[in-house]
Amino acid sequence: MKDDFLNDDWLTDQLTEEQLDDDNFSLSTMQLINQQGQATSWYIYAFSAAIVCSLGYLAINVLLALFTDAPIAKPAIIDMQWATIFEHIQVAPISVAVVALTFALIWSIEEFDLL
Amino acid sequence: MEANLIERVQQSGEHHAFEQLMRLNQSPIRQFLRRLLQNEHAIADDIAQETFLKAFLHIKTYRGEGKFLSWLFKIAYQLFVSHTRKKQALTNAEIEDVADAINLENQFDAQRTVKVLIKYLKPEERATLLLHFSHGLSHQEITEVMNMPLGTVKSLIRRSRLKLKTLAEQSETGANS
Repeated sequence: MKDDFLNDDWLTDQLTEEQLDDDNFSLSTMQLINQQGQATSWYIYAFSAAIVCSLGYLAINVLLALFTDAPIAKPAIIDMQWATIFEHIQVAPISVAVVALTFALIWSIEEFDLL
Repeated sequence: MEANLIERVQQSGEHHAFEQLMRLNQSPIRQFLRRLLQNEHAIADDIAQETFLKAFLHIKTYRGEGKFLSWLFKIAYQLFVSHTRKKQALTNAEIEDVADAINLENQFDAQRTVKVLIKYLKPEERATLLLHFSHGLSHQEITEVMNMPLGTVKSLIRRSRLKLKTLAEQSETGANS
């Protein structure tokens, strides 16, 4: 028998199995699909990215205010005037990159089942 | 027929069309996983279900390049790899010493078939062998399923066949002594 392993036809015969036709499998899988619904929409990832970035921004400022002698960021959080923000808003390219990377990270965690 | 079903699912997420697609493809996927998981049927079927769920959710990413079954095999193999990573202990317990393994199999003489012997191959060796001989995938298709270079796939198939041959020799020697 040992030499048969080098014979393609013989090996194919040995490894070929009967069909598995099981209605229960199909039914339970369809139930699972019905429960899970459609794939997550892109705006869920965008919303998650926005939340993560906002919390990150706040956390960094708060930590800076707490652990450094230059609490410049604290008033920026608390006494923020929306009008001044929109007039003078300047988004550094690095911030855009951080938001994009956060979006990609959150998307890839679900897409590739990283968790 | 299959192309039409895929198109219906891609365009309108039609559940009935997907169910038909699943009926057409469930057997090879489940058999592949059962062999990969060494006949742990319940776990294999769980992963098969997950494969079809993932296929349904991401069917728009299937662009019709290559067989639909190969695309399903790719998802199934990724889920299998992910499962074995989570179950590191299982992988570590893999029997490396073939002679010892054969001695452990009390009924090895009676069960000296390919189905028993492939248990002793490494998962990636088992996967390439099954995809090629049991499911008729070409070397090129296996490279896409397993995300490996062509040379590695060819080498894995060759190595696993030689390993099976050696296992059979050892089992015969063991039986004669």
